[in-house]
Amino acid sequence: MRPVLLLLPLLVGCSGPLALIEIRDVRVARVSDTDRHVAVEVDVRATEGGGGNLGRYCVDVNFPGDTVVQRTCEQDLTDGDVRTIRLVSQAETAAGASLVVTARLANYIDSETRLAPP
Amino acid sequence: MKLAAPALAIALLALAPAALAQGAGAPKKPAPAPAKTAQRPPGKAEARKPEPARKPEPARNPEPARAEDPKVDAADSKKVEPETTARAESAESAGPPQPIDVHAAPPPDQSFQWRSPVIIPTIQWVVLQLLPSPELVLGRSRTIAADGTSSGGPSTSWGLKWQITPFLWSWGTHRKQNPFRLLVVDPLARVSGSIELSTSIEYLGGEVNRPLVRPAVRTYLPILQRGENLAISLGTSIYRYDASLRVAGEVGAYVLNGFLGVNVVFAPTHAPLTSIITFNIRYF
Repeated sequence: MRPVLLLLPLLVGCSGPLALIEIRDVRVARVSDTDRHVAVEVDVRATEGGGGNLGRYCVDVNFPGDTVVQRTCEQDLTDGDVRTIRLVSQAETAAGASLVVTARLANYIDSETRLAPP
Repeated sequence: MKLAAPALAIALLALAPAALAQGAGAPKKPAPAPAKTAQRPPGKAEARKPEPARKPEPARNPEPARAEDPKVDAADSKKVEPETTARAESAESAGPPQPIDVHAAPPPDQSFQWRSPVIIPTIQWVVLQLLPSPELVLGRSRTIAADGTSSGGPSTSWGLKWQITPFLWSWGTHRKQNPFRLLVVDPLARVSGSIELSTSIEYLGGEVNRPLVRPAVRTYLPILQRGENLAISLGTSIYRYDASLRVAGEVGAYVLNGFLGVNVVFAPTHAPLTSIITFNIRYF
């Protein structure tokens, strides 16, 4: 019984997700003063328990004025890497509109919400 | 007679230096007492001891050439004879030897006593636990900008580490002592061979810049002097980093009863914390 108890921390440690992507920071700005488009820069960090490549991941931003979700997908991150991804709205975005930023890796999703700048 | 005269002259010349040396005041070596008995003929030595069955042993005489000399034998026997007679008379008058009382002193106490350590947390112990162990964090990082350019590389950071041992089982202590320790662990119980459940609380600065809580299972193995001079440890630990649980291995070496040591935690698959070198300061 004792050896099983001693191995309990290891069993708990192996139960977490092996790979995930998380949003570290989101910055929102107007592309220009005359243009009402909004640019979103998303910093994502890759975590891969085995230390290898993260695999295919996607980052998308839902701009309220756009008809489609702006998305980019890559597979260039390994464990511990941080990447900045820039997405620009296709249509004008009203000030204070809610911008939903999502990072996906297989079944793992990390999401944050920001307001469009004035 | 013509031949005897030169021979006598040669003998006198041979003895002359020795006679001159004695006469000139050369230091006389006192003859050791046992030498007399060694020169005694076997027959006289037998006379001192009232054991008729004992036979003379001429072969044991260290100087048989001198023992065969009848002149020396006669001189020695004259010297020894009165002394031997006196000793024999005194031995007869003393009677049988008195028996020695060998049981006068009590036998030594050979009972084994022991006392189990009563280990409880004290204020001094708490203060010692607050003393952190410095750490050096080695890792690597890579950052990719929005335009696709990447930067980064190997990184180093510093850290501080505090440890606590909720449970320890020692197999190095005496079998009549309690092998289990809770929180407070005496050094000998740890370094003489033990398995412990440990938890470390770390703060890693620099690029890592975050606290870590790391439960671990660790075994200590004694190398020199039951681990007091040198002990090593092997273990594994888990920690949460960026919402993901990580597993790390570790090895360590300790001296001075485990008070000082070096512990290396390695997680080769975890780029930001590839290895952490801890300069362990720990007592109880």
